[in-house]
Order: sequence, then structure tokens, then C-alpha cells
Amino acid sequence: MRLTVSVFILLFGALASSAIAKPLVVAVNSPLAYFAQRLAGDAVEVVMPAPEGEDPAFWQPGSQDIAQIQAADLVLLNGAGFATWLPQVSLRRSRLVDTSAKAKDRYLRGDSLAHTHGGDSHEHGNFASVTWLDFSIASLQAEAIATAFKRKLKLEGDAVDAALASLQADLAELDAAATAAGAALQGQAFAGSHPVYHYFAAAYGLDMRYLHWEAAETITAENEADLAALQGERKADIMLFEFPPSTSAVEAAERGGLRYLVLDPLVNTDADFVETMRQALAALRP
Amino acid sequence: MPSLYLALAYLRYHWLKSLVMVLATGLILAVPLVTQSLLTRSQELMTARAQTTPLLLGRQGSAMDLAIKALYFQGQAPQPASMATVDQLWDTGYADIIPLHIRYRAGGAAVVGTSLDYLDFRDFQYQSGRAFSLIGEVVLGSEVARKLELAPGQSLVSQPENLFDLTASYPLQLDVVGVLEPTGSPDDGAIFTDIKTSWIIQGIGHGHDDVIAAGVTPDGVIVANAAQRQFARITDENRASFHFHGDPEGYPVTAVIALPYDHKSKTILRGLFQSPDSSIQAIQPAPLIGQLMESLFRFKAVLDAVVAVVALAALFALGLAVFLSLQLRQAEMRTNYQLGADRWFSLRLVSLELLLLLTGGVALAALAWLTADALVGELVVLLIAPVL
Repeated sequence: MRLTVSVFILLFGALASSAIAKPLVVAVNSPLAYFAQRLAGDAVEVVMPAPEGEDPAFWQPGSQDIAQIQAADLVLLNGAGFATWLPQVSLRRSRLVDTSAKAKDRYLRGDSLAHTHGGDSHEHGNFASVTWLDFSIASLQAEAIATAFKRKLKLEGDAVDAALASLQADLAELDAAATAAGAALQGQAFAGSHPVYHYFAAAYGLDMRYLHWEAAETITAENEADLAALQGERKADIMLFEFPPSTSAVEAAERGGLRYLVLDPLVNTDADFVETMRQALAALRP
Repeated sequence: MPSLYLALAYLRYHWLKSLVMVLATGLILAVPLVTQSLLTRSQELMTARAQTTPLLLGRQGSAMDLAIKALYFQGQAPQPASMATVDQLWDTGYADIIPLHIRYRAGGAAVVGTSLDYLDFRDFQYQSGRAFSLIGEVVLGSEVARKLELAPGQSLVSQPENLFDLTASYPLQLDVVGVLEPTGSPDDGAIFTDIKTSWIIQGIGHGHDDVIAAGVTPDGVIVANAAQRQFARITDENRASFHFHGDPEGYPVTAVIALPYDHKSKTILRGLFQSPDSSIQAIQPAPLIGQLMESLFRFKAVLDAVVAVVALAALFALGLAVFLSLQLRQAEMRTNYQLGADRWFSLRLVSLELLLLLTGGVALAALAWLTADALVGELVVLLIAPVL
């Protein structure tokens, strides 16, 4: 009898707890979603709404996406102008967290060259927005999320603090690895396939200029002309791609006299941010 | 009850005189009742709105202008503060902050640019539709929707501030996505939208439409048509092209509502802007509106005295009319007596007639009072708003 009652209580408790909806947290990119999940674990439901294959920085949400974002208990913004849809959508300011607000004085200017890929024309804004590739800024972003979790979602402070300490330790390790990679690559000039490495280059001392190549697509004559112009100004040695490049891109880089490396900013992925970045940084070192 | 029958017959026969007497009595009673109801309710409404808004911030200047504009969307717009103040307030962590941009009008109603937090703060319910979710979308107060006969799916255009200033803000088409339930407050007469939409009306943000092509030259250059659109429109096609220029911290806000988390936070927030050098003022609307109400109610005492004197004069006039009427009915009274009625019959008859007239007057006054009470919310908005 006692066993039956216990089982009933356990079942009822499980059902009741599953019926209590978890706070919904929307993150505008995958690194922030990863940080949020690391900090809160199962206490929240984390969603990064941009579909697979879309760049969350330039993705435009549909009405259902907007409804989901508006219904979120917390919306984690990257800051620095990341997510071009933000100026067009109405959100509750009380639920927004600008995760890089404490690093505003470290924002870097990007370029503003309008260009097209995949039929989608867009312009990179005034600020470079891939802030998390400076892992010290990523650490501040994680801290901002932890503060919001404690203050706005009232998550248990000790648990969040412990998770933050662990995450910041991992990010500090990535920072050290990136510093070491940067030191090992000193003297080499870089061409970024896309203007996404401003913070990485500034933080870890890389000499970086940019093209607007789509790594996975076939390289056009115009792309090659851009590379030739860039090489004419100051010869780059290494091309840094966001994704493993297509054969066409590899051949074009080689024709331009460059070898290539890959550093994925992990902007839209389910991959483990720390582990994937650790491997990518190790691969950067000569 | 022959006397009741005869009294009713008399009043019916002299229906015009009876009607005038009932109307006069009704008015004498109704005027002070309705006035009292209107003033009391207007005081309640204005004070309640002020009391539910714990802290208002804006540029240094007239505190009353700031309160009237932010709470009732009326009167002179104070000099705008900037979003830097909003950010500064958020950064303190002492309160939820709601920006208000109240500068433009559409269909005669104030366009209130704000955030969704304002709709939550005022606990709006929707008659139809939903809250705004994209730039260019608006939610109408119930009175605006009724007057302009607008519903979700329809649109209206913002009014230019100055018809003769060609460089002034360009009208923007506003798409209605929701209509609020009546609240009996100034919100009924306003249009709510995202503050970014207000900034677009102001010209801080804009989109890029393709030019209207008039033709193409032989070398492929598109020649634009000189025709211009009469107003800007945000569509699914051009929405993504809308963007803002300048430093976001410099974007204007008319006022800022702060909702402190506790009393201590409120005190600290007020303290932050107490310095005489501060360009921002923090005011508590309740005491300020309380002072305004006191002034209004000093005026009410004068009004009460005037009403009392007029009512007394009207009562004298009514008394005189009754007295003269009785004088004219001397022959009728004598006939009653000669027909066998007792000496009190005439007194009973006249008393009943007066009682019936008085009952009619009271009923009329009660009807006027109840009607005024039912419509008092709208009446207050109609009567008080232009004054503010």
C-alpha cells in the first residue's frame, strides 16, 4: 500500500512538474543560446529561432517567429547591431538583455559594403558584431546572461553562479588558446573570407583584411578580382574561412597565393561552442 | 381616491404647464447632482491615473506640462529627453522603464510611441486584434476606433506637424492591428505604436523604396519618375530596409515612466535627478495632479455657490408660478366646495398635484444623473481634455 502511494506521489509530482512551463529564453545566435543553456541547464527552454543554414545576423523572422520571440520571458541580444530584424520588431524592453552592453566601449567598426549572396542582398552594418570571438567579451556576455537569469527569471543564484564560473573558466581557456594561436601566427597577413573576424583579429593580434566570399559557393570572377585587388594592396598569406571551403574557393585562394584555415564563428549551430572552438583554435596553430 | 384621479386629470389637461414644471424641477435638482458626479469622477480618474504612475521623468522644465502630456496626452509638449536617459535608468536596475514619444497625431488623436511594456503596464484588453509587433503597426483606443470607424486590417495616415514646412516629417501610413477595450481613461482617445514608428514619422528612421521608373535610357540607366508618394508606407517588401540614423542614445523621448521595484528604489531614482545641474527632472505625478485638483475644486466651491443661488431663484419662480396658478383656480375650488367636497379636499388636491410634479422632477433628475454617471468616463475625457 505504502509503495503504491509513493509511486502515485512520484508520478503525480513528475506530471505536475512537467506541466509547469519553463521560462522561454530566446537567443539571437547560437553562442548566446549555448551560454544560456550552460548557465541555466534544464531550468529554462532556450531557443535560437533562425532556421538552420540562415545567418541569424541577417535573417528576417516571420510572423510566427515574432510571436514566439514576443512571448519569450527573456530575449538575449548580442548587441553591436547584430540581428538586423531588431529595429523592425516590437519587443518588451523589460525582457531584453543586451549581453555586450558592458563591452560597448570595445565595439569595433565594421565595413559597410553592400553585397549579395544566395539571392539575399545585405549590408554589413556600422559595428562589427561577432563580438564573442574575443573570448573576454564572450565572458562578459555570459556574465550578463547570468545576471539576467538571477534578476529577471529568479533562478537559483548559487547554481547560476557555479555554472558561470565553470563557463568563464572555459572561455578563459579559449582566450589563452586564441592568444597562443595569435602569437604563433604573428608576421602572417590574413584575408578573411567574410568580415566576421574583427574582434578575433583585434584581440589576438592578427593582421586581417576582408573579402566577401561565400566559402561554400562557387567563386566568381568578381570574387577573384576582389582577391587580386586585395593582394595588390598588401599580400596576404592565409585566408580564413568561416566554413570548410568549396573546392572552387580553395583553388581560387591557391591561385591567389594563399593557403587557408577555417575558424567557424558558430553563429548558427547546435555544436558544443567550447569544444568546437577549442578544436578550431588548436587547428589554427601552425 | 377621487383626489388622485382629479389631480392626474388636471395635470393631464394642463400638460404643457405640467411638463414645464417637471422640467424646471428636474433641472434644479439635476444640475448640482450631475456637476458633483462629473467633478468627483474626473477627480477620481485623474488622480487614479496619476497614482498608478509612480514616477515620471523628462527634461527640466514645467513639471505640470510633463505630467499632463505623459498621463493625458494633452497640452504643451515638453522639451524632449533622449534615449540615453532611458538607458541610464535601465542600467540602474531599480525600475522597469517605459519610454513615451508623444508628438504626432493621426486622425486627430495623439500617436503615443512607446514599448509593449506600456500595454502591459496599463493592463489593456483587446476589443479586437492584437498588440503591435512590427514598425508601422498601431493599436487604437476604443474612442478613436469608434470615431474614425477603423478596425484591424484598415489604416490611417499620420498628420504632418506643419503643412507649410516642406522639410518637416513625412506622413506615414499606420496599419491598425488592434482596438482596445474602453478604459474610461485618456488611453481611449490615443493611438499606440512602437516608439520606433514614431521615430520613423519624425524622420530619424526610414526605408528605401525603389524609384518609380519613367523609362530606361539606351545605355540602361533608369530614369526616375518625378512623381512622389504622398505618404510613406511600411510594407512586407520594404520593411527590412527600414533603419535608423544617428546615435541611438540621442533619439528623442517626450517622457519616461519609471516603475520602481520597491520604495527604496523609487527614493534612490528620485535622488539621482535631484541635483540642480541635472538636465532631467523626476516627478511624482500623484501630488502634482492632487494640487491641480485642489485648484479645480476651489473653483467648484464658487460653482456650487452659483448653482445654489440659481436654484434658489428658480425655486422662487416655481413657487410664484404655483401661487399664481392657485389664485387663478379660486373659482374651481369654490365649485368643488359647492359640489360637496370637504374643506380639506382642495388642499389635498393641490398637494397631490405638487407631489406628482415633484416626483416627475425627481425622476427626471435621477435619470439625468444616472445617464451622466454611466457616460461620465467619456464626458470627463471630452470636457476635461480640451481644458488640459
